[in-house]
Amino acid sequence: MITKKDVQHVTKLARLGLTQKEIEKFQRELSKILDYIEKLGDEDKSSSLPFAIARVKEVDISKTEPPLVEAKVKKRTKSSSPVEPTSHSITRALAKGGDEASTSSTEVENIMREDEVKSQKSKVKSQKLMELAPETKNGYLKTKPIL
Amino acid sequence: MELENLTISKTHRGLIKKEFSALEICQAYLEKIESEDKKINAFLTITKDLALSQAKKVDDMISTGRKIPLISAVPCAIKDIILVEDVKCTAGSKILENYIAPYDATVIKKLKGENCVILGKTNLDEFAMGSSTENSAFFPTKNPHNLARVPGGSSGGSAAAVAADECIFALGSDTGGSIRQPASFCGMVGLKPTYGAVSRFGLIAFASSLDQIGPITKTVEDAKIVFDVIKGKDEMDSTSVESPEIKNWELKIKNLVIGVPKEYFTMPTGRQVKGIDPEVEKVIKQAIKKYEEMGAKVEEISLPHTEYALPCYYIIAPSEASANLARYDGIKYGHSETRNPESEIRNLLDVYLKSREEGFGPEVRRRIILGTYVLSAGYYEAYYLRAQKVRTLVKEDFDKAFRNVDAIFTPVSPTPAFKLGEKIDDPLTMYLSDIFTISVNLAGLPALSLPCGKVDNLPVGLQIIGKPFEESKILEIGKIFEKNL
Repeated sequence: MITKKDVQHVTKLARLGLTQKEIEKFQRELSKILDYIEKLGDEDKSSSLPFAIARVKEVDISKTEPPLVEAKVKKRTKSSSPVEPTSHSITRALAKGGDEASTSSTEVENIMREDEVKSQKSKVKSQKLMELAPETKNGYLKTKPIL
Repeated sequence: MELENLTISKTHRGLIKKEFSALEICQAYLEKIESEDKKINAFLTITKDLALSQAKKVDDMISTGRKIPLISAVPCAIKDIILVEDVKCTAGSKILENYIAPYDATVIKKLKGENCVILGKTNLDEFAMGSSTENSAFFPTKNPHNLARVPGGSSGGSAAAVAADECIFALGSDTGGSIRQPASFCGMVGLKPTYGAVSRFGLIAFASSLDQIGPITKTVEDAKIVFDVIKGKDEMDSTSVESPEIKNWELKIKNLVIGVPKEYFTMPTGRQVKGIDPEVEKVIKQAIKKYEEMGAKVEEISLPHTEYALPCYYIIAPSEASANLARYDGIKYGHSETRNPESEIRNLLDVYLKSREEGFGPEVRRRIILGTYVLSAGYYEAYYLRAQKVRTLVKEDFDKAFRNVDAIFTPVSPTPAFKLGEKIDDPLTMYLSDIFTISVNLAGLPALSLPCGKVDNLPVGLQIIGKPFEESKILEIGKIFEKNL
C-alpha cells in the first residue's frame, strides 16, 4: 500500500508539481497498480512469495531484503543458480554470429567514441539547439537562482 | 485517383509507366487528408510544403530518365515522436507543443535520402504511453473501421492514417506493443523489429531498452520494403547493429514448425479482466489451422513466465521513462514556466515543478511517479532489480522455445478495438490490453502483426514472433497467409 506521504516524497524526487487532489488520485491509482504487480504471485498457490517477481524461484533473494518483501520470502533453493538481470536484450555476439549464437546478456560490449566537434556544420546545429531554450546568455543556458 | 489499393510497388510501377506523376499522387493524398481526416483525427501536423518539394524532386528525376528507388515519391506519415527537421514534434504532449525538431531522425534521413514523401505527423498517446491514443494531449484518434472505437495505441494515428488511405505507409514506435496493437485494431500490417535493428536516433525516448521504430503498412511486402530502407547500424545509436544476412534460407511450408504458447490462451489477464475474448481466440485458431492445412507443423509450446511479463514491464518501462523524461525541465527546450510573464516562480526548483506540472498529462505523470517510486532508495532491489531478473527469465523462455520452432504464433490483443472512453479511467485495465505484446519487447525479438480475420466487423491481428534479426523469415511466413487469403 502506497501512502499519501509516499506520493508526496516521490513527486519531490521526480520534480513534479502536483495539487493535493492529484496526490490523492495518484495514491489510489498507484496502489491499485502496485497491488497488481505484487499480488499476482499470491494466485500461484505453489509459492508463498508475496511478490510476483520474487515468486520466480531462481531469483537471487539472498541479499538484504528491502522493506516491501521481508515477510513471506522463502529461501532460494540451493540447486538453482542466480539469474542475471537483463538490461540489454540483444547482444553483439548474436549480431555477428547469426542465428545460433547465445543470447545471454553478459556479452554486450561498450561502444566508445571521442567526444569532439566533428564539423563546422555542428556549430550551426548547436546554435539551433540553443534557440530552443527559453533563456540564454552569451551562448549559455540561463536559469533561475538555485536558492 | 484510386488510393484504396495503392501499395509501394504499385505506386512505383505507376510512376515508372507514367500513369501518374509524383506530384499528382502527393496532391491526391493531401486532398484526401484535407477532406477525410476531420472524421479520423489521425494527423497532428501536415507537412504540405515538404511533401510537395519531395514529390517534385522525384518528378524531375523521372523526367531526366534517372532510376528511382522503390520507395521514392511514396506518401507516408510519421508518428509525432520521430524528429523531422524544422517540423513540429510534440510527442502528443503539451510540454513539446511548440517544439520544432532541430534535426532529422536517422530513419527520416534514410527515407528522405530515397525521396519518400512525408505528408505529416500522426497522433499518439503522450510520449507513446498508452494503448488507445486517448492519452494524446490534443485529441483522440478514431478507428476508421468504426468511429466509436479506438484505433489502438500508442501509434494509433499512424495505423488509422494507413487504414483510412490517408497515406501508403506510416512509421510508428513500439515499446510494449505500440505498433502491433494499433495495426491489429485497424486491420493493418505492423512490424516491430529486433531491438537494435533500426536506429533510435531522433526517436523521442520513452523506455530506451524497449523502444524500436517500425512500419505500419497495408501489406507484408510493403512492411519489408520499408524495413529494408530504415534498418541498419548507425553511429548515432550505439545500440543499433547491422542485421546479419540469413543465408541459404527459403521458406518451405512443409518444413515450417510453428509454436503456439498455451499460456496465451489459458491465462487470465487479471482478476477483474477476462482472458482472451473467445471470438478472437476462434479467429486466431482458424489462422493457425490454415497454416497447418498448408503443410506447416504446429506444436504447443510453453512460455512459463508469460504472466510475469506485464508486472515486469510496468516496473522497467516506467523506471526508464522517469529517467528519460527528467530532461523536460523547462530550461533546455519545451514548455517552460519562465516564458510565462505572470508566473510566480522564485527559484530553479519552482521552474522544474511548475513546468513539469503544466506540461505533462495524467498518464505520463502516473508513470514518472511509478518509475521514481520503484527506483527510490529501499525499493530498487524489490522492484527494478527483480524485474530485470524476470526479464532474463522471459527471454530464456523464448530462447528455449526457439530451439524447436521457427516462429511463435499468438494473438496480438485479447480483444478487438474497444470503445472510446471504455478504459481511459482505469489505467490498470488499459495496461492489461498489452498483455500479449509486452514479452516480445522484454526479449528484444522481432514480431509481425498480421490481419487474419474479423470479429463483429472489427479486425483481429495474428502475432508472428521470430528469432532475433529474423524479420525476413516472419515476413515470408506472413506473406504466405496473405497470398492464401
